[in-house]
Amino acid sequence: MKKNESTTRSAASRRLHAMDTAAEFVVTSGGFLVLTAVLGICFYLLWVVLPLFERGTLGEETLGQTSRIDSPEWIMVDPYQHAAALIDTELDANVIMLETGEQIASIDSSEGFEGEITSSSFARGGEFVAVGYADGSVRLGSFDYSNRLRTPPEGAVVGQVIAEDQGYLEIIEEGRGRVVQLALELGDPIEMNEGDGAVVRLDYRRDPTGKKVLAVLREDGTVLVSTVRTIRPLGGGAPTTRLSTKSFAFESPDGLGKPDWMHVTADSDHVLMIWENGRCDRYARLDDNSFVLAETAQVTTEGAEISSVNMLLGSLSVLIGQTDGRMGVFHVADDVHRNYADERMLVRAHLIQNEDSPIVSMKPSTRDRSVLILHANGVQELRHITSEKLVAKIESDHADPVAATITPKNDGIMSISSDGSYELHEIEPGYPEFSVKALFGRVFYEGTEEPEYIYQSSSGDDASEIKLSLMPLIFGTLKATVFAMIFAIPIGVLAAIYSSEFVSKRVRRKVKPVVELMASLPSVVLGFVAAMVVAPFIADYIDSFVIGLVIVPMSILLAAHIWQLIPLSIRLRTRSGQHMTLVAVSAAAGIGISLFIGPAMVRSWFEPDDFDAAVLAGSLEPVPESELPGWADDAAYNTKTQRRLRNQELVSYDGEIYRAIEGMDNAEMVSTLGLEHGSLRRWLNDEYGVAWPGWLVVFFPVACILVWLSHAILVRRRIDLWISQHEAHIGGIVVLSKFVLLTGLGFLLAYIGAVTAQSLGYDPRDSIFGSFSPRNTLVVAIIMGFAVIPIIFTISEDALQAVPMTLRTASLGSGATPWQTATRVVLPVAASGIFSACMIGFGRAVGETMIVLMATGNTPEMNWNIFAGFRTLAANIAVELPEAPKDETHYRVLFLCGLVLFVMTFVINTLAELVRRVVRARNAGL
Amino acid sequence: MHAKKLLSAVVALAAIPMIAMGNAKDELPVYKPTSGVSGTITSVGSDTMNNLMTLWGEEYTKFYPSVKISIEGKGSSTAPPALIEGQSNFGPMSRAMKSSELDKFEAAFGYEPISLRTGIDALAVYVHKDCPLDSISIENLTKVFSVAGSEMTWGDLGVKDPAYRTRKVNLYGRNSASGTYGYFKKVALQGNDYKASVKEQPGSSAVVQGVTTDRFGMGYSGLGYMTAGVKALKVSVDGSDAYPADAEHSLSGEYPIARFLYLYVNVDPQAGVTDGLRREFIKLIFSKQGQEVVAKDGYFPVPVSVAREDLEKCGIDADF
Repeated sequence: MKKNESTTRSAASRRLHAMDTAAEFVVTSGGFLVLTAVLGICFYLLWVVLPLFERGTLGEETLGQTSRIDSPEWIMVDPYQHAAALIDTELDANVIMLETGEQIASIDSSEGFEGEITSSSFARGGEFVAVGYADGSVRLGSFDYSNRLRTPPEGAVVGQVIAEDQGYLEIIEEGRGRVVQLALELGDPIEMNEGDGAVVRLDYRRDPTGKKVLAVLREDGTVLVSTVRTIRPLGGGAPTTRLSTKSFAFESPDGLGKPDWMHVTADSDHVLMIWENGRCDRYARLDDNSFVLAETAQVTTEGAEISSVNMLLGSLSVLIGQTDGRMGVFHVADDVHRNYADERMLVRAHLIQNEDSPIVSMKPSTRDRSVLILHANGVQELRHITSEKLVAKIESDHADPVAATITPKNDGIMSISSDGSYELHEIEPGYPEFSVKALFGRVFYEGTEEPEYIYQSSSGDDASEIKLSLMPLIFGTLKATVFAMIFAIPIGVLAAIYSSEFVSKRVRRKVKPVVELMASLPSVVLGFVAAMVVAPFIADYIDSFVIGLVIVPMSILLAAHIWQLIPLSIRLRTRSGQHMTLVAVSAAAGIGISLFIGPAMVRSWFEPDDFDAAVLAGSLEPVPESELPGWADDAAYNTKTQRRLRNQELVSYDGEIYRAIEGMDNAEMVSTLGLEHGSLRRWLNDEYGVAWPGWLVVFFPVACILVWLSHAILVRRRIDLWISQHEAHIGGIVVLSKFVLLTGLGFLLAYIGAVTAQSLGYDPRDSIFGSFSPRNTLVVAIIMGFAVIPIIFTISEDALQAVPMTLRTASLGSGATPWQTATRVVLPVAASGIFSACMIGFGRAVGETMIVLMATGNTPEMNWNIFAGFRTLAANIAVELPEAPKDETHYRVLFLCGLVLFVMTFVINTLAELVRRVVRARNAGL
Repeated sequence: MHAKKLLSAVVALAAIPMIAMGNAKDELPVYKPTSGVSGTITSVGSDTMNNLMTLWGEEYTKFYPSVKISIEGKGSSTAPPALIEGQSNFGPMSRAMKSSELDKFEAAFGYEPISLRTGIDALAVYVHKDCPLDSISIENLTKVFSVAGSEMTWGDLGVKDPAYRTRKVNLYGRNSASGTYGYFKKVALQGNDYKASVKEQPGSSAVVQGVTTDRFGMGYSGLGYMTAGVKALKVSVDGSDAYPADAEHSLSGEYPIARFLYLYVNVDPQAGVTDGLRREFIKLIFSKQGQEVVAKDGYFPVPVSVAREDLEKCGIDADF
């Protein structure tokens, strides 16, 4: 019997043991698999992202020697890298085969045309060339490699390249060959109808819209700027050309003579005259279409002279190559300080240094914003300008290099020396637009006056600058999360405290699953609701909504205070949970009041005043200089000064300050326009109005909390003591009047704060308010808050429930009220759990995609305006991945967005876990 | 008087496309089916042209019920890889292929793909119907919409009306994922970036809706989305005359914000289109029925000369 028993026991224990081991194995391997999956995803992201950090790779090298040297100024390699044209300053070209160095063709630019060439221009890899003659005429044209397919002669081998008349034939596959030929097309000479003498300098280029710009400097100093627009009818037929010319007289600065370089920007608004000593005169087109010398600048750094000048792809940035090996990149930006006649100025966006040797030439790529810099010591650097990334560097031992070029497909670099030796390197540029600085730092983009964070990944064409700063996206992610948490944390946590500490078990058992049911709503449905229901609602009822944010909580508080006035005998008869009805009724009353009062309140506060009416009606006159306040000099660009001017009933337009004309009846004008009534949206859009009403709305809740806190610290104990000595209904009245008094005090404080902020020139419309966009942060905050509340609620509630009952009973037994027990005993113990609840909610909000995608305009802005949109990392991936070509920079940057998101949530969750552990260790004794 | 002029302008605007469309369509032949066409038409590419492809596909299956149609519209950038990998036989794109995409195609086949110009998409610049402004230059559009200009008032655009003179222009535009956004940026903004204050609307009709409700609003959207609440501005280039957004001036190139809707096909230039499946589809597109579909979808049909040229590019006899 005994033996039998022991065998069964050992059998049972063995079975148990086996089950234990199996369970342990399953759990461990499951955990291990999860870990592997997470790490695997992380490694995959890294694997896609890492190539971005690499430089371009150099491939095969072709070396050769040609006798046709004639000091080439420009090189044009054909797209398939078998031939190269060496072009001199008269645009005469010699085409050589790169494999052998033999000459296969030559092109004479003056064929069939007599005239002494005095100047020439070569842009966009030969697509835009021009020659100027001694008689002052100009011919425009282009070099072009044509290619067509042809059946090769018998016996040709695949891969063979046969030199032919004016080009070559390459056998690309059995029975198929490709003929490549270079041709120069030059149009008929254009007579310049103004000025006199030879064409001294010439610049001919194109802007992204297809408009061509020609600038001509003649011997007598006349400069002609022509824009040439060729319209190709979509319906076919001959293209028509429109030419509009504007001329001005160039004045040579003392002792400098004619400029060494002249360039025109593609917008045809600026002509730059540049001398070797670093002086740059900028002639600018004014609004009346005339040109003036707007700016004289020194474009070199100390102690250096200019050795080479060119323009970047897009022809808006000018490259200045210096004798000390540095390269400056300049563009024209807005001049907010209005120092120059056209309110524009030259700014140096980049200063790039690598080699100490003088720059011989700088050749822009025709595909992207890369530049090939050729130094006198033979070093060739391929740099991307926006990211400043050194894409490739070739150290050549050829002496005296004279010209270099990037091949048309951006896949090779060729250079040639004065002795006729040349080299061609195949190159795979990789991801030139990417650099850590371009993603996370402020970058100087073309046309901006200072470095900025901008995200604009879609580009119109090759010439436009891709802007890949991730900062607006990271900012957008944080903005969405922060506003959502401001909405979700109070509601989620307070609801959890209420449900855990104040309602009966029966009610709680029903409430919790219902709230958890909220979490089961797919986020795409929430996003849909946000975009289609909430956003239009807020747009239509913005007045009531904003007022309601204050009124509804206030009315609930007021109802609670009124509840105190009801005799205790009646109050005691209600059951727990029944006063929820009261809350619901008061909240509904609050909503009703806001709906009716909101518009009226807005009208009384946000109403245009007399000055606004004058501005709206346009009855303004300029203020004489003598009557202007001394601090108003920067009114044109300083918003704070503009706000202060508004306080004094002055307004700034285009740098000029205006005041209202007295004695005008503007009311009628304004009312015919239908603008007489205030509207929050128009106020937000900064169409009229002053700052204080906005500040009042912001400050009021803050002031109320401050007033309540200081009352709690200073006088509450005494009041409570006094109340306890009196009857309940008197206490109720005292508490109610205290509430009204504190609210009034809060309002007063907020008003004082608002008026002070306004007088200092601060306006909420420059920070947390601003232009109203229907798909805004507020909508996202509400809906994303709605998505996060169930998580925060459930986990917080569990944490509160985990607090031992003994603590509560001890507290209640010592005479504490349930409220005191909840806030001072239960809450501190459950704090770690509530904290991790908030953090998990935070993590969820950071990665949320569909809600933000659908409920915002996905504008990558960087401001705290609650009525503006934003773009989050997650939404960005969803929006752009389908449009990003696989394995290119944009595609990999989107994976980098994913990686950043991964790191963000990882850091947040780790922090949450750490804090939770610390707090739990502290509470371990309980 | 003012209102009358406006009304007649609206009427005229509405009438011109009708006439122009009528002309172009009449000259194109009615499509007649042949025998022996079977297989699957697969198209991967532009989402803008998704609807158009679907309509053509429906038309095609009417003639050849056995042909299967599969149309995927995930964006113009998806068209070139699908063509290169042979996953599709048509690549609709609302922009021309970029040079890097052409390179990849050429590297794979030794020749460049053929682009068929299947329709014309004109963008209109809309203002509120009561707005006194009638025309705008490309230069001013750049200043209004892009960061190249500061904040613009209606006065800056030449409006004398005191009610408008000092008021800011409120801007409406499409979301950055759309091809319209990129095209408008390239042509009307001359490549500059959009101002951050351009309110990005989710769809073309939402832009028109926004302008209808905003007296000081200005927005761009396809011409097909015009309603009575807005008017389309005439657009001028380089200070020349301003031309209205209609078929006639889009085709002549005088109205500058109009583009082709492209359909890319992998055609060996030495051989032409050899299979009946693709040949008949292309013939259908450049037929009376095919171009009626284009008009039905809110675009302008292409003129006969373009149709003839594109058919010849594919080695198909244009017998009209």
